[in-house]
Amino acid sequence: MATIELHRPRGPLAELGKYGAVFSTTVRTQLAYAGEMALRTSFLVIILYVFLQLWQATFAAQGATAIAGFGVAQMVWYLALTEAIVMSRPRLSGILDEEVRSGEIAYRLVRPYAYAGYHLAAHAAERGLRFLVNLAVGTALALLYVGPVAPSWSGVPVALVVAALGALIDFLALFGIGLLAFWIEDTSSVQLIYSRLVMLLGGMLLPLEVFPEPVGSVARALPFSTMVYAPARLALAGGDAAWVLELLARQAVTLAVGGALVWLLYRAAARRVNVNGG
Amino acid sequence: MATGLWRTLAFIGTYVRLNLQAALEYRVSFWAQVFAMALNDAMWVAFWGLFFARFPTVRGYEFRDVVMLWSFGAFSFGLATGLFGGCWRYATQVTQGALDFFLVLPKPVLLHVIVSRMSVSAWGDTLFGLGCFLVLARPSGEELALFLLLSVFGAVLFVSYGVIVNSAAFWLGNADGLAEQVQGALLTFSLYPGSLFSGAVKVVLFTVVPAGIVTWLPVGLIRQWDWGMATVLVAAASASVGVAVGVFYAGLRRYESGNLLAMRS
Repeated sequence: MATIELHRPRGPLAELGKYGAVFSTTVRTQLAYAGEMALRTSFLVIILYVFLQLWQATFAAQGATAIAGFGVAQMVWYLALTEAIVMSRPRLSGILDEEVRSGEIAYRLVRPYAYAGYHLAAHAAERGLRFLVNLAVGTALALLYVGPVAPSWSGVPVALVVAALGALIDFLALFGIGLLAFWIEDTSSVQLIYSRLVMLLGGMLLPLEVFPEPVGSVARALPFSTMVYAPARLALAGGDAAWVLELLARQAVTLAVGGALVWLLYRAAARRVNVNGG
Repeated sequence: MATGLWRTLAFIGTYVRLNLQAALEYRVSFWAQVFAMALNDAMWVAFWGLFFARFPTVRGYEFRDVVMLWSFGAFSFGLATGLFGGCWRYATQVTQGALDFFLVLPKPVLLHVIVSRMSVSAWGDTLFGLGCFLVLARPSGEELALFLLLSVFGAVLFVSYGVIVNSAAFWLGNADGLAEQVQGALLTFSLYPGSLFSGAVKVVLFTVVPAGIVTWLPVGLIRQWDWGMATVLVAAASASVGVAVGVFYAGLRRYESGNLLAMRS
């Protein structure tokens, strides 16, 4: 009787292939809910309209044509970009929280992939898709409300890199908050406060130049600004080489320190997993 | 009639007490949610503080006016969803055919549906709203009394709007996403200065998405009392209750049971 030997594919490509499969499966899953995703972009219609009115009133009251180097049109485009970034954030902490509380994490841990790697691939797929949809809707709305503005063509590619690194920093933070479910009753409160810090100190509603001092300097020094303000600013107005290098260095340090902390947290959490029954 | 009213109030009081007791079973989680929501609101007001530090007046609104808007909006929304949390999210129950529990009990169905749930974080809004008003707006005694009185009307309007919007599920089926978006729109517009909007948008904001009535009008009354506007507010709140009750029971005639065998939790 012939026997069939089963081989588990090995090597870096096979490893990457697994996460690629998670990525593409998540994209297909999200596309199945395209209607819901489109419905959620209706918030962009409202918030961009509200801020168009707010900035028009503010510029008129100041008698100014530019504030912090931005005119009304640039302010609206800035908001369209920052909203596209912030609204694309999936609820990763909530998913991890549920997995920990329901015990589903025990089943995930025994599967042939890294737990964090699985979530990173799924998170990247969902976030990337949502970002594209939000960006498309935000662009259409900004064109409708204020017309086109000239982007910084040299800044756009750098903005994409900075936005991707910012999303990775955000992933680490959300993953860490989700893991806190091993120790605290409810992580949704921590998640809410973290999200508000990203939105407000990240410069989602106002470019950081508009913040009074010393709040502006503090906000610029925090990692939140590298996730939201920096990519939008780079795409619209560009930035000098020194600032871009400093920005990338800060993101690299944040990733290294944040990654180490989350890894330690994960190791501590994994020791607390109890499996009872099947 | 007085007995009926007393019984209804006792019913609401008992439900709120039980909801609170259930939420306090997870005491740390309860206070974490309350604190986080209050902090969340405080951060938004801090944002406005930064904005008005740079631009002191925008179309007649100053920082104190926005503080009043946020205080009033948070306090009345907190009251609405803290006491009647079901009003803001019962569309899912309609879609799942999970209203059977309420239909077989000898209490008004709508009242029972909306009082049966409590938003824990709403108490954070309520505490923040009152605290923010007292600390940042520094009201006179008269302003504080008006704030508390008018918040009741604000809460009634929030509850009515939630009931009307969620009732779309009776006709559309899966309407929780729609309800969430429309309710989000009401909250968003309610917390920005009303003087920013004009023309057709302003008409929409006093009718379809009535942010103008829910927060701008009461805050305008606290700033400067006007009997005509006060009458409009009372009439709008009364009419909203009538419309909410009418729409809910019209929808309930279309309700289909999901034959769910489940204990209410």
